Amino acid sequence: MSVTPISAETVLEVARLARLEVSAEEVPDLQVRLGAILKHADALADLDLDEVEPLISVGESMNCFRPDTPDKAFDPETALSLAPDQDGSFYRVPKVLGDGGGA
Amino acid sequence: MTVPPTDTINAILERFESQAPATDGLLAGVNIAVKANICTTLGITSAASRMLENYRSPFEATVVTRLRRAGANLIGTTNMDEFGMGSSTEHSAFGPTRNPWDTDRVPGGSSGGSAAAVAAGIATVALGSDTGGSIRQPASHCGVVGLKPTYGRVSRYGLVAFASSLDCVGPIGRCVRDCAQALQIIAGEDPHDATCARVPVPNMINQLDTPIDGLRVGVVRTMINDHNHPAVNAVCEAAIERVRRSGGEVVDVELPHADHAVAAYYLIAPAEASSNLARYDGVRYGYRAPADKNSTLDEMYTHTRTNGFGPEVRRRILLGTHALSSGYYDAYYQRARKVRRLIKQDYDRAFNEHGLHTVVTPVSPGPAFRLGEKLADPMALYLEDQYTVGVSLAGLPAISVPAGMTDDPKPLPIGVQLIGKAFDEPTLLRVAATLEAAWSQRDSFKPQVGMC
Repeated sequence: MSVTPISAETVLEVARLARLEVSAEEVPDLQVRLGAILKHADALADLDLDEVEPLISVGESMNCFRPDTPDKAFDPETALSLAPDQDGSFYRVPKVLGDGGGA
Repeated sequence: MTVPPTDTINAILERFESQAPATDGLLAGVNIAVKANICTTLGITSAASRMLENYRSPFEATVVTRLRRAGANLIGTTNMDEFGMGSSTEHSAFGPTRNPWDTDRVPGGSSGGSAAAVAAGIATVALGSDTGGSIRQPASHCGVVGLKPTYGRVSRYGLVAFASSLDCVGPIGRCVRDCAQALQIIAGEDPHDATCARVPVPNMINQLDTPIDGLRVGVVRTMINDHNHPAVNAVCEAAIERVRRSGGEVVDVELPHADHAVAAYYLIAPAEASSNLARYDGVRYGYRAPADKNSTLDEMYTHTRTNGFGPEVRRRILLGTHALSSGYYDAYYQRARKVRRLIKQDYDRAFNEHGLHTVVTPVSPGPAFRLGEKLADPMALYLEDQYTVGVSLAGLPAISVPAGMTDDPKPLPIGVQLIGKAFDEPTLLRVAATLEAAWSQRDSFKPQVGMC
């Protein structure tokens, strides 16, 4: 499969997936900048990779777990104190459910 | 204790209140700064982002705990490219850091504040983080020593994550010995980090004065080429000659997939970043964009992330999201991970078949460039990393050692990169110390800004 530079529609769709807003004026510049690295990555398609196992991490065989014993953790007050909006017990976020649903 | 000079180069983001001086420990009283993506409980851990502009970590990184216990005097946090994404420290939400050798130029990045702080004498040692070259390249551009340890050698508990299969914490110092001593303190397993290897930590210092007679040093000839600044090639050749004169055996080696490292890296690292940075949603900590009461949760996420992240971070999240998205995953992310294996195999083969102890290459294709010079060209800045990202993909330790200067009216430092075998930092440091001692003119150059 050959790699093509990125379309305006794809830029906007990727932005939606990433929860980022991209204005119409920003799209052409992003097409150029993202397209440059994607085009550079075209060369990878020329390699014969059928028999190659992907390498996820050089540390893939070393998970060093500690004994499963209780350790000190944050108390709820500390954790909540870092939040931009909270009510003393919970994080406060914009309304998720609609009004008329009667959930 | 020396009082650091005024920071005219914007290397320090926050200066900590002075602590009671320690009299005990390997680093007693040594002024150490930490990159702003390493959590301390002494101030803000911003990662040079608006997103974490007011973030006070409730815990400290394991490396910080170890430095404090060794008596270090923590002086503050250093400027960086936001979340580590950049090679010039121009992508900081708090303005660029300037190179102490020529303040019209960048210090490199992303640990540019750490390298500049050491070069200017503001800190004796500074911690940096290296995902694709972010310790080695700024060290080279600032004329100091920068060590990226083996992946898994140093705990990342308390490091703000960028690309988890690549991120490493390491020291930047004025000399190889300072880096070795700092590594000795911060290295070793950590119950709080399951990716930190349970491998004994060898003595990093006791081989520093051992001659390198008989050690085999590989040279990748294709990396000394016409695309580099001529001074980079000249410095590299001079360093190879010094290795030879010091008793090292120089062997030509090939890394056949090295040219693909930038492409593989700039798919893998953004992919991991897009996943890691999904946590910045304006709910649990960090910045939240102001919202009116009709805003939906989704709108809050989107406004928070759009306003909280800078342009380069947003671009890399988009690139990574694209590389991971349905329909493109195999063509980009999966392919890049396969190439990553080939790159690692190249190094394994070079070390094993040639019986090498270390490999020498340039750190970057040129010396420090001017502020703004590479911002417009999307590939130019990424190609800065072409000699460092492959090492990161392979997880090997590497060090940047000052080895020469350009012959400009304002001479700029140039380092060479030495690459070692996994978990063999002592041999790497031994070759680095030899190379450092063999550049006789080193002390005749001083940065424009600084007190050392």
